[in-house]
Amino acid sequence: MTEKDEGFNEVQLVEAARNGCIDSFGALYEKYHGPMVALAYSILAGRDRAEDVAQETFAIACRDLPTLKSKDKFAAWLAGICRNLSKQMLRAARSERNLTPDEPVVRTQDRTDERSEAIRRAVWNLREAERDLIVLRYFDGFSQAQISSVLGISAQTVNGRLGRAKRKVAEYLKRNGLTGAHYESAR
Amino acid sequence: MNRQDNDKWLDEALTDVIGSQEPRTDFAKWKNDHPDAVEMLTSRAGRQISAAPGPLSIRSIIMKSPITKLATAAVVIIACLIGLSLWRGTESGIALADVLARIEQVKAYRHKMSIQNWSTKVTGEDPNKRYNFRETRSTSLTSQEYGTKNKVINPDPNGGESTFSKEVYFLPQKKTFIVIMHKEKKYWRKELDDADIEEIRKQSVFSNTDPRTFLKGILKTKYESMGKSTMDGVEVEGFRTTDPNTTDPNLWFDIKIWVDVKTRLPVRFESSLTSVEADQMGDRWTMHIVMHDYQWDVPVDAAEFEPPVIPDDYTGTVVKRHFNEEPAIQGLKVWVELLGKYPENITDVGDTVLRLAEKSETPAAMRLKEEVKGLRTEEEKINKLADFLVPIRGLERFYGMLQWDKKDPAYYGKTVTPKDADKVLMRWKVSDNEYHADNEYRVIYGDLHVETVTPEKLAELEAALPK
Repeated sequence: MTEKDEGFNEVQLVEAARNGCIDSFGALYEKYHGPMVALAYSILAGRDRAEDVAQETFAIACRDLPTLKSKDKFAAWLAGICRNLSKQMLRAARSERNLTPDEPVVRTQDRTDERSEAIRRAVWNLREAERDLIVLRYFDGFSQAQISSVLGISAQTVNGRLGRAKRKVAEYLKRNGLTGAHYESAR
Repeated sequence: MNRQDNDKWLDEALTDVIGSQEPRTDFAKWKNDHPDAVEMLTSRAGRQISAAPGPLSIRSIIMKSPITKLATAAVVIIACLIGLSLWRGTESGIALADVLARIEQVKAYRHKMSIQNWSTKVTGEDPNKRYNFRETRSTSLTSQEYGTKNKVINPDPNGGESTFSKEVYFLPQKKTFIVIMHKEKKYWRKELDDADIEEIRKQSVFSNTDPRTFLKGILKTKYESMGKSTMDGVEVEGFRTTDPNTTDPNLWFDIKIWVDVKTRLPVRFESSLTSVEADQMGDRWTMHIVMHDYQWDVPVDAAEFEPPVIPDDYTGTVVKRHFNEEPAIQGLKVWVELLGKYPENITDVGDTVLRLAEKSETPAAMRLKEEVKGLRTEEEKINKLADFLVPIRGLERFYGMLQWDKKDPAYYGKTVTPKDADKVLMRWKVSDNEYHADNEYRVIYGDLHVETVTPEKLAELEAALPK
């Protein structure tokens, strides 16, 4: 299936869902549930909460679908809802804490955890746009086309930004003493 | 180390740390958890079939929808027939218009139906070999007065025992539509208003397998007589319409009807529908529908159309005509617990409740702050706060739904307190044509008890509100 065909069919699904077809909405849910969980996870850094936000995202989409102006931009529109919800939840949480926005979660139990936390820290220190890309790419191996439609950017931009984001992660890890050699030897 | 090696370990490391071990995409569960959202979406259902363009989409709906599955095929065929150009039918002993007139006099009838679906490969395979074969059989009792009940059986393709898979009831007098899915041990019940009933009668499941609708479609097409023959000992005359030039160019169809020469009532309908183009998987799909064993003008009793008893171990969804206010009440409760009073308005409450709670000294707010302080990780803290955020968001969503559906909602949190048991805190119009009289309102009072009131009573309540 070409990207064009996929887009064409998706517009049909969106149109049918707008007209109340729950099965069409189900098909959109199946397609975008994973990316929405990943996107929420990129902001909230917690899987259960990310699941909750994704569920809520689709509930709001049900309500607001008739307001969607460009049916070919459903994924980006959905991602906007998901981002807003995630940020609302994060803001609410941060108003109860005095953590700085970029303070990562650190839980050190053994060396494996240390390495994992270093990688998490490297990812969550990235700018939001870069972090979204990394998480979407590695959360469930979403395709370049899926990432492109969810983030509303071209496939070329996805590639370019993903490469830069990965280099930043690698540099951060190197500065903190974790290289490919260390990682392989510790596995 | 070159760039590729560098990427490889990093890819592995990122997948290890970020990768999702267990995708939990489950739309059925989502639907169960969000009946209000589903209701909001499906309430917009108008012409779903016509909104789904092309044979692929039609098939997708046929294969997936629990409600329309049985007779969508017939809907499609009728839709095609109605679009055909008119032409003169061949002369025969029986006029189909007369058959239609006779059917329209029938008060109740029974019939059986079978629907077979299969695919064939367009290239590289035996074009006659069938894939994805599915069959459902059903028996129906239809009464103009009481509605329709339908039992669906799935035959075992290997010749084993058939499975009684589903019961569907359309009970207009009870204003109810019920689907019981025996295999899944689930049920779905929707309370209907007059508009729903009209819609179902016009274009939903049963009306389109109704021989009247079918015949009206055939009468608009170029049909021809197949002559007289004997079917199950009854002398019949057959009619057929196939002309590919007059139908949807995406579909081939072949429709036949046999009419009892004596009674001038139908004995059997057969319809075949095939997609002209292969879909993206290289499949061409066919649907074959047979409606037979008609028993016309059978006596019926109201007791036969009582809603069925649903076994205790079945789980289900009940879609009510009025919105379920429980999420709003839970949200208001949580807000009062945390802040000691109601929100002044219901906009962005989810965003502001915890910010306000930080300054609140209610026992619940103090307890929450203490508990959050004791938690170590960000995730634990967010989880704790979500216990309060989720119901507040339910309140926000509920009010948004009322606004969206133009239920004339109003909220008086600025002046009404939890002690005001006689003052209206929130109200909205109950759906027209519901079990309640038209134009009644649902009211949540300050102490959160709920009543349905007349517009006059509401006017009194609102006049008594503090200015």
